[in-house]
Amino acid sequence: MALDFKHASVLEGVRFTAQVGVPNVVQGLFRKREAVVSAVGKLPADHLAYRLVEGLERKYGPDPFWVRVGAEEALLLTHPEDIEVVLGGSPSPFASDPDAKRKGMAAFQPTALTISRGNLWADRRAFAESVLGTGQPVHQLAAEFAAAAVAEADALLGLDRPMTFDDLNACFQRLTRVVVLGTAAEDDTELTDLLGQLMAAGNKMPGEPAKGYDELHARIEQYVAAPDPTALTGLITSAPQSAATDVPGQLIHWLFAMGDTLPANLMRTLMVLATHSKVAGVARSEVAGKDMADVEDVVGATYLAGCILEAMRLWPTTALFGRVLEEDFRWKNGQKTPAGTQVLIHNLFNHRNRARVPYADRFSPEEWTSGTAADDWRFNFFSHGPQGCPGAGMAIFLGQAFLGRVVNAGELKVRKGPRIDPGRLPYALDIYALEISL
Amino acid sequence: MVSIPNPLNLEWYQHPSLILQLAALSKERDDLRAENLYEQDGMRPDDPAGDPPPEVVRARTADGTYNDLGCPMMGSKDSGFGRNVPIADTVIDRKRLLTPDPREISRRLMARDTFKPAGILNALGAAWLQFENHNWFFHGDGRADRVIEVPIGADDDFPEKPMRIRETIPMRGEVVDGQPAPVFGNAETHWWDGSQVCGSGAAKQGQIRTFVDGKIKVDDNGRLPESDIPGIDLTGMQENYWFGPGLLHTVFAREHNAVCDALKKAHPELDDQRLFELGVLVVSALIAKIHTVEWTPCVLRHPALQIGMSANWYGALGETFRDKIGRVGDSEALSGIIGSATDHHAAPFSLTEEFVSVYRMHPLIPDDWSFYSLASGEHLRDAYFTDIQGSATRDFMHSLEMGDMWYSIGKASAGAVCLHNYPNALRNLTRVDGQVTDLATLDIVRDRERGVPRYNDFREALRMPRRKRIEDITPNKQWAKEINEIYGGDVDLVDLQIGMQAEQPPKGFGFSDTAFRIFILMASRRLKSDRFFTSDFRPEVYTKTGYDWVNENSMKDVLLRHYPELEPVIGDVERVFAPWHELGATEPGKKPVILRAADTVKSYLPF
Ligand code: HEM
Ligand code: HEM
Ligand code: HEM
Repeated sequence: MALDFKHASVLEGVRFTAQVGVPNVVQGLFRKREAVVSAVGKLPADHLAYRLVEGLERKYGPDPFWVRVGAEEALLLTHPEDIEVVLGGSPSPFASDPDAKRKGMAAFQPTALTISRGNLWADRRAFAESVLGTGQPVHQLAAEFAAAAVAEADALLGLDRPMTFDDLNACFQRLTRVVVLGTAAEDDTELTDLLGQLMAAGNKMPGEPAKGYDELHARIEQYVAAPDPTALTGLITSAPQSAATDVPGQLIHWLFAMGDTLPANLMRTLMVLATHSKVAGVARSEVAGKDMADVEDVVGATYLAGCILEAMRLWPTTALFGRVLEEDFRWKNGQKTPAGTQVLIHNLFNHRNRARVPYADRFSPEEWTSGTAADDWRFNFFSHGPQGCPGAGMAIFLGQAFLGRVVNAGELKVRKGPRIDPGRLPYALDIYALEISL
Repeated sequence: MVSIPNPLNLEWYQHPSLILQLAALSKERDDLRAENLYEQDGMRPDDPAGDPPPEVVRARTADGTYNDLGCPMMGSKDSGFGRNVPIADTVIDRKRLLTPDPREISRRLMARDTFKPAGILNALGAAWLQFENHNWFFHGDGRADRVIEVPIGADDDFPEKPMRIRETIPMRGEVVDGQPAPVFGNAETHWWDGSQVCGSGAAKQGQIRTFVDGKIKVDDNGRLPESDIPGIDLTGMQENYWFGPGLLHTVFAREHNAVCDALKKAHPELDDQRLFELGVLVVSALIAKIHTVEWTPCVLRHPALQIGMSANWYGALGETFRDKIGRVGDSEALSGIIGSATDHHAAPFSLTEEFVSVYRMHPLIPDDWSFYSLASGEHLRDAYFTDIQGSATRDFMHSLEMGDMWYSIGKASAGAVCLHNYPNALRNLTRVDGQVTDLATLDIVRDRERGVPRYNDFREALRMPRRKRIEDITPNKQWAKEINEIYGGDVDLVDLQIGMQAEQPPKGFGFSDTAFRIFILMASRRLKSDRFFTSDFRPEVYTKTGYDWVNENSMKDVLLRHYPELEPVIGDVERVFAPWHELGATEPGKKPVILRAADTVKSYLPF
């Protein structure tokens, strides 16, 4: 009895389901739906969610505690020590394929690394790390990637009107096609649209590949079969793989992470740069006189990297994620948790925990460059541990090259969007409500 | 408390109903509180002047001072033992210090012939009691040049002639024949403060602490470090060490560190000193709780006590109610002692000589031990007590897995506290300082030396009826005959230890009703007088994390936290101080055999 974590009440579970669990589903697990995001954004749903979890943590934390999500109780983690146990223990015994995620992803990427277990995961992980250059100081194709990112920045700088998220998104989709599949794919917007439709289908959690999946797979396979030495496809033949890897199936995740997730985070970074003149000043001086085509210049833009990371901390694109226990598990203090337990990590609360993070609601890129933020397992917009995002380095690199070029070109101005108080940044920042002139 | 008429002069356990038994007991305790707490002048140094500094208000001090802020020296280390009998009854009779011959008593009445199991208590429960005694009291090491010489006869194979027992050195004054006993000092703090784990006094604590994050020293393998006494772990209390206390000192050192981790997790701003203090507060309260609601009901398996002891801790309304609602008014009966107002009753708090005497329960220790593998259940080896204690302890403990030792001590039965069951290993004990002692002889001599009344006088002082004849002490005819021979038929000469070990305990009891009287008074007093169990048992003092830790954990939780491999043998057991079942004896999902067995098992009754 005592070697169990505390349980939040049924009533608290109802509120948790409504304010934390459901918004994450409503907003679209895999493809954020524009209209809904705006509506929920106005409710300050994220603020409600923060306050709710804050109250629960005060009452039942800092150890993990049980909270009801719908009919089931799940274990909510708020302390970095416990998060380290879980993400350090992924994918086994903490598997990263909770039911909802697996069922949703099955629509568009049934063989994805992130929902693989055991040997299959290890096989696919080795493939991804090899091609993505995970953990390397710079990717072997970094120069090509920087040039491609700069080209997209230039395209947007040439706009004669303020930039919307759709503009940015479209550019990054093109960039992604070039980086992942090669120049031959540059204008293959059909492929991107097809992936978008499949992801929308994933929101209904069908549990099986949606209509069109085979076509998507076949299209990617064609690019893989004709590798481009300046793109990731060029690195595939020399990467470790087996009959079980399903190479085209692996690339799907890369396409949406780079094409959708990355620009969403960069949109928010741009918003901050446009509203925090000091930050923009430091960023600009860091890249002054550099055209961002030189890999060293991109990698050296560490303050800019801090800005991207900090925007991701403040407004994580993954607000809530989870694990499921493969087997009974005993925690450090003896608490025993049964196989099948769902473990939840609520980035939205953890990243902003006012009681533990002194800079919770302020934009503080220096915490990443000279502080301890980079070592803090509390911040999981890229996750952490063996199953942490293998594309993190590449995402940041592309972001640095892109933003460096943009800030160098002149002052950013928010043309449309909410007023924000730099001392108390809001919990949600709706990218669809923003227009920024570059 | 409503007073219940008692025209038949029944003992509390002779009342026909549980309610009446409870009421009688309750009255018993009120009377004891009013009439059996005494102290002498010069028990403790004068109190310091001035307001107490904040660091002594917020937590227990290393030397036990300032538990009572109005009487800071009360219960502190090196202050004197009080008495449960009037001082005038503690007269020391030096002429009869060795009459009847204590070694004869040891040989003819106490020596174990065959092992008589207690049945209801396991050997872990025996180790637990010694572990607790070491929390509470120690009369010190004495001096090599002040000894009592016990003559050893020609036919006696005791290795030293005479046997030398070091005198107990009074804290002030000297023993004067025919005068009441002087005050003897307690080398430990009197409080239930976990001092056996973390040490009494700042110097000792300094050896035990790491001074990092409040933690105390445990090595990388989860074992205690070596001390400068060969074979003995470095821990708060190192006397009379063997693998049983070794296990308990280790697990509670680890528990202390686990508490410190949890506290630091919840309060990263706390420094080493605060974390240490809070660790001590939490672990000592948890130990006290385990003793009150788990260990005691196991040795005193009487229905009235199952209620009474839980009521002591939680109040009669029960654990769940307490958890939900908090304390109910100021009533100790309803809400338990824990968290109630502090009260010293008739005298300032100290432990007493009589309390020490009734806890001389050495027959709990078996001589012959068997060790089993926790992984396979296989019998690994046998050992004689001599070879698993004293300077052999560490080597022995390093030759086995902790899990194997836990399993083996949990499976073994403690000995019954009765005549002819005194462990022979302790009757020929070579201590780490080289002294060779027959502890049974010593137990008899110590009571006489310290002016603890003999059996009948002791009973009278507690308002229990005197026994007219030796045959009235025990229903065992053979024992009565032997006692008669030793004491020449004089019932008033019978030593306290002998009377208690000959007595038939009430149904379900692991020891005598005579010992129990001291126990119900002192057990509650250790809680009731201690500010950290009463007015200061609150989240503001313990922190919420610490307060919850005490409330939520049990001995089983502590064991499983540090030795999860014990799950197959205790996972489904309710009482860890009753003998554990065989590995594999329980099927998953089924009520374990032991739960049924523990309730029906017959403890050894020599009557
Ligand atoms: C800013 C953009 C990105 C963010 C915020 C992001 C975030 C994350 C997060 C939170 C996870 C862990 C998900 C979980 O365990 O449930 C993850 C995993 C993953 N990410 Fe990213 N990611 C980004 C960009 C990328 C890119 C550009 C790629 C590839 C080119 C990529 C490839 C992957 C893969 C393959 C996994 C699965 C890893 C595994 O399960 O072993 N990500 N990412
Ligand atoms: C069931 C476990 C035990 C209990 C309850 C117990 C209890 C006691 C008590 C109450 C005393 C009197 C202490 C004092 O006068 O301050 C005592 C003394 C002593 N105990 Fe034990 N004990 C236990 C086990 C052992 C064991 C296993 C040993 C030896 C390895 C041992 C060795 C001694 C010695 C040597 C003394 C004498 C100290 C002296 O007065 O010189 N005890 N014990
Ligand atoms: C071991 C130490 C014990 C302590 C510290 C203790 C404490 C107390 C206290 C302080 C009271 C309230 C008296 C009053 O408020 O005037 C009380 C009442 C009571 N105790 Fe205990 N008790 C102990 C043992 C027992 C035992 C062994 C039993 C049962 C066999 C028991 C049963 C009761 C009952 C039934 C009452 C309630 C009487 C009433 O209705 O007022 N207690 N106890």
